[in-house]
Amino acid sequence: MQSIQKNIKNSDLLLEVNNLNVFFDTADGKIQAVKDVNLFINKGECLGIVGESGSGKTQTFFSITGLLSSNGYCNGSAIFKDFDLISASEDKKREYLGKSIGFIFQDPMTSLTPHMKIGEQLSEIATFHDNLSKSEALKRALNVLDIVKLPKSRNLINSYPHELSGGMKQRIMIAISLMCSPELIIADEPTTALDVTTQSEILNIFNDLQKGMGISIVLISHNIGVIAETSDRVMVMKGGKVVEKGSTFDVLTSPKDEYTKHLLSCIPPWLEG
Amino acid sequence: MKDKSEEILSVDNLKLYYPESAGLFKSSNTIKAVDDVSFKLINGETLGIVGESGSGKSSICRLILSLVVKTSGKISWFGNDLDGYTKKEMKDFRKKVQIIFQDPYGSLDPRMTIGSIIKEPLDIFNGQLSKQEKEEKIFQLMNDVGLSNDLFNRYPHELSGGQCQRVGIARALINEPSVLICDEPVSALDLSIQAQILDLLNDLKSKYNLTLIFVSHDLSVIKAICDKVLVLKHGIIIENRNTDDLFNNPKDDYTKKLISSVPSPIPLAK
Amino acid sequence: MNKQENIKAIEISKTLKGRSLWVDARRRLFLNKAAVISLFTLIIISIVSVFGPFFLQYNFSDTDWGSIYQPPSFETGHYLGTDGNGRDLLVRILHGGRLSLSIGLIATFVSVFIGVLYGTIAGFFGGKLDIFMMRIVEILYAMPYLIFVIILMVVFGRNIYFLFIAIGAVEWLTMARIVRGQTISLKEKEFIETSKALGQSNTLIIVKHIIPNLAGPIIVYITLMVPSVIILESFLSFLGLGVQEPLTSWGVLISEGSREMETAWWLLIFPGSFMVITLASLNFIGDGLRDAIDPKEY
Ligand SMILES: Nc1ncnc2c1ncn2[C@@H]1O[C@H](COP(=O)(O)OP(=O)(O)OP(=O)(O)O)[C@@H](O)[C@H]1O
Ligand SMILES: Nc1ncnc2c1ncn2[C@@H]1O[C@H](COP(=O)(O)OP(=O)(O)OP(=O)(O)O)[C@@H](O)[C@H]1O
Ligand SMILES: [Mg+2]
Ligand SMILES: [Mg+2]
Repeated sequence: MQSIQKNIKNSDLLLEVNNLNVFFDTADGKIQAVKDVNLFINKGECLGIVGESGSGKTQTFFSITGLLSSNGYCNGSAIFKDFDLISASEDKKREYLGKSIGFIFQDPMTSLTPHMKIGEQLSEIATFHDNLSKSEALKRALNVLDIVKLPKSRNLINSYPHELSGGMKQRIMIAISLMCSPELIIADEPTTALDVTTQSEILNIFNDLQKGMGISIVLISHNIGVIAETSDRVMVMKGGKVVEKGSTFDVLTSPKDEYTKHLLSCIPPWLEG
Repeated sequence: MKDKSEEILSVDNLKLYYPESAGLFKSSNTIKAVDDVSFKLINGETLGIVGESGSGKSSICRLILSLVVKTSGKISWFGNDLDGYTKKEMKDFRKKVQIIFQDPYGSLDPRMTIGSIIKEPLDIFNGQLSKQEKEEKIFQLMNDVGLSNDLFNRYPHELSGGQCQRVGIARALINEPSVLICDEPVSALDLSIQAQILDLLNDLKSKYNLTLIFVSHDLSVIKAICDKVLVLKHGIIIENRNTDDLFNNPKDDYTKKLISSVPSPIPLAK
Repeated sequence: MNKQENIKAIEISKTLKGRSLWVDARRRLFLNKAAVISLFTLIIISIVSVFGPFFLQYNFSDTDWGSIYQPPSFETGHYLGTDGNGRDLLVRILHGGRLSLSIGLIATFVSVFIGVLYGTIAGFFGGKLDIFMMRIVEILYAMPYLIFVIILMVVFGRNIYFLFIAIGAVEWLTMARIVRGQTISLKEKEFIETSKALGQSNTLIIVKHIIPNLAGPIIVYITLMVPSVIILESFLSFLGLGVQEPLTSWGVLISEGSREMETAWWLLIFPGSFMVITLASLNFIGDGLRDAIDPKEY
């Protein structure tokens, strides 16, 4: 059934991951963090990913984008527009990362360079990938900061990361991923440090990107509400495996897997009412 | 045993201003991170702090522990001004008041194993315990926050975001503090583990009357655990009310907007 | 937590062994072949330098006018040849090794110790203390160390220990500056703030958090410093301020050997090889240590 669906949409396919395994060497032996994960993402689609903490959500996408730490390795394939990201060389990957694939890291606080001004961090990526001049890149940076609803009144371009609050840094991360027009944005817990009003503004931005510009989004989140509002399909992970996937509506309203059921049962009742 | 309405911490007219960093020229603007904030913390209660991103929540937490120098105002612990504290009194204070920082990974020393990170507070204040006793305590707490034992010898970068966050929680709890300041303590946890942590905190509250300051963007968590809530905007407290009160009839426009913006977990059929 | 779990936790704590960074680092260092071989080489060179001369038939200062500039040969017992005074080269190299190695290692470690302590204190506490401490460093920097050494020698007479002091006094300055800079950026990190919030004392924050996180740059600097110290020593000796004939060091042997390279190649090649092997070993050990101490390296 699924494969038929896939064939129909084949021309829209942006990323297809097959039999992905991720391993880590630790002092206590080898561990497998991701076990035989298969997934696909179509153009202009939002795939939501929920799951237990430590279930391998982050590492799945780290391995695809070549960001695994030095004790990790992976096998399988990840075809991004006819191009296998996993077997690609570092240089080739770097060409895609940042330009065609934007990554919003789960940990914004440590993903920003401490001694570089926000303006430089934003414009750096545009000068690197799009060969923009410094002033053009800075102009684009200001524009992007505006998109993620950072206050204009502040001179953010000249601030250092430690001068910003958690949520501000998180929005800087989102802004960085928007600096070059990507085709796929991987957003790993992008709104954890944002208040609900700002969060809904960011989710609106995601919706605009997806519907208006045809950008695909992978949204990893623990917040079922966020997933429900944004994603078309959901994938549930536990212990490195995908335990359930399907359309957001189906999975959230009639879950089949025990873990999914358990997870949904933890939603506080007042939210549902 | 304890006077229920005893006031343990009071914050009066607290201010924290930063000069704005500018390009070439010093700008004369100031950022009012915390602007004239006053509140009281009653023994055993849970005080929630919510508010816009950048409204000064983390700054208040840091100020209480004197990790940043305040611009003006007064913070008193059992009626004594913290400014007059000697080094020893300050150390004592810090034993009783623990904090879980907002940034789960950044608050862990990258060169320490998880075991020694959780052990650090024990080394500082409970040096008389044997190694065995310390490890028992660590394993118990790791178990309580849902961390598996094989993470004991790992380093922070080998953990997931939520695992790091739980290490921070375990470390803050190991010396049984009387006040716990939590800055977004469950933001990286899935709902099921979130519930486990909230249960644990509730347990500690009933067991030894733990007092909590709980910063969170997640209103359902705030609703579940807090007795009182402060709503903050631009460094100013705009509401300070009982939780039920606040949720049932929010007065301020911002609060209303906040409550109505909570994303619903019920998907629309597409 | 219920009783059953409690018992479980106790049992686990009995079986699971806790490790620290240092235990992990030692294990990782020993997994690094280049570092282990280098460590072994360095130990052998040190042992041979210390004890070797006792087993050789020649003394380092015995001149033999009948056999000057002899090339290496097994028959005569001058395995590595002789110099212009007919002295046995092997025994002189070993003797010189004692001095070069001890200056290289001891002067380095003393200056690293002082530099790290000074730099972390200045950087960590900052403010007026930092300004004051760094002014002192700048003043010492500006003082020509040669004059400093000469004054020492004039006042106290010529003594090999002043060589250590003079070199140490120069080298710690750079270390202190590097460490201070790194400490200032580390201090801003959230985990340092956390440790403060836990009630940790400043001394222990420096010892437990700052220094281990500085280990990388410190070790890199040490591997750069040892050769420069050995070379500095030969320079001082060349000026007549260091070791004096018939005592010698690798630096001295090499600089003498290079002058007679065309007539007696062995006078340069052999002391040079000892030096190169030692420095290369130190480099590998340094690299190994740096990686071993970084938990992100595997
Ligand atoms: N460098 C590493 N070495 C060893 N184990 C690792 C490493 N990085 C991650 N892991 C382990 O891999 C598992 C999956 O981690 P991952 O970061 O993908 O989890 P996650 O699903 O993103 O969880 P969270 O929601 O808590 O962020 C975890 O159990 C983690 O401990
Ligand atoms: N060192 C600093 N220098 C300058 N400004 C700072 C500094 N630290 C914090 N600020 C500013 O103070 C304000 C309040 O920051 P704070 O971290 O308290 O916000 P917050 O309420 O915790 O926000 P979030 O929910 O996003 O974490 C922000 O505008 C921030 O930019
Ligand atoms: Mg993650
Ligand atoms: Mg904050």
